[in-house]
Amino acid sequence: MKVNQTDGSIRDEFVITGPSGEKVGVNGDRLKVDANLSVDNVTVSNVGITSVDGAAMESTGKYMPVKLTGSNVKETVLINNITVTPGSTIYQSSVNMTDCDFFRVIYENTVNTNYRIGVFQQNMSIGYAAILLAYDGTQIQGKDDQFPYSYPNASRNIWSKLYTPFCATAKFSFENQGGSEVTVSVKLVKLSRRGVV
Amino acid sequence: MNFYDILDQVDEGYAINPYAAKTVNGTWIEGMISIDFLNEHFGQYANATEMIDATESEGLKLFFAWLRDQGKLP
Repeated sequence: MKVNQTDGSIRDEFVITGPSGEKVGVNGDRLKVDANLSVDNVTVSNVGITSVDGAAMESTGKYMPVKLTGSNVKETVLINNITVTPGSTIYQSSVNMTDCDFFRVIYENTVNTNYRIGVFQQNMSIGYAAILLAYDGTQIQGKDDQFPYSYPNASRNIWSKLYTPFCATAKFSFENQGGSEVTVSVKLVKLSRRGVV
Repeated sequence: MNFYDILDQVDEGYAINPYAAKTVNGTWIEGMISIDFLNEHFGQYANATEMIDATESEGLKLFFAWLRDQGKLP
């Protein structure tokens, strides 16, 4: 098992591949840990894999959520442990993303709920790019249909815009569409430029 | 109760909510609230007291009390 950053033509960054080179997943996917494989040993080009909750990933035959860590993966906390009222939306101050790099938004919550994370340019004009991955510590919670698109506060489908660069000063929003309060943290993960790692 | 009749829309379908979220320090953060959400879950109630009694959310309780204090809810 290894972590590859593939060539720029398909814009696959930090792809996790299996022993035979098959694509296993990308950052945020649940990774099946096979026998005799230790995730602790999976480190390539200064990018490591850890379980979301920091627990050792020694179990075999289980799917576990993973995220990439390392000096090439920069995280910015957008929302830190905020309890959002049902039906309400909060906004995050602008974040400079003008270097046209690739970003991912990681969402962590306390309870399952329907939600929408909006990513939009400071001037509210068209242009979005975000990769939305959700965890509750044990499994991915976010699904494509939980990020409905609506102009101008658009949240992109998780996978369809996975590799779109963002070249703007961005604002983020979080909407709790469920009927219960939810405590959330949202992180923006900036991936290294393609070919640099 | 149709919340579209009593709330000012700051964005299409959304109104100001001074109690949209709360930090771990207990500070409330202003945001917006979906008017459709309010109509769906609280449109059947006639006054603020009934709405407050119908939710366990601290933020919503404060929001309805705030509307009552403003004279927008009986």
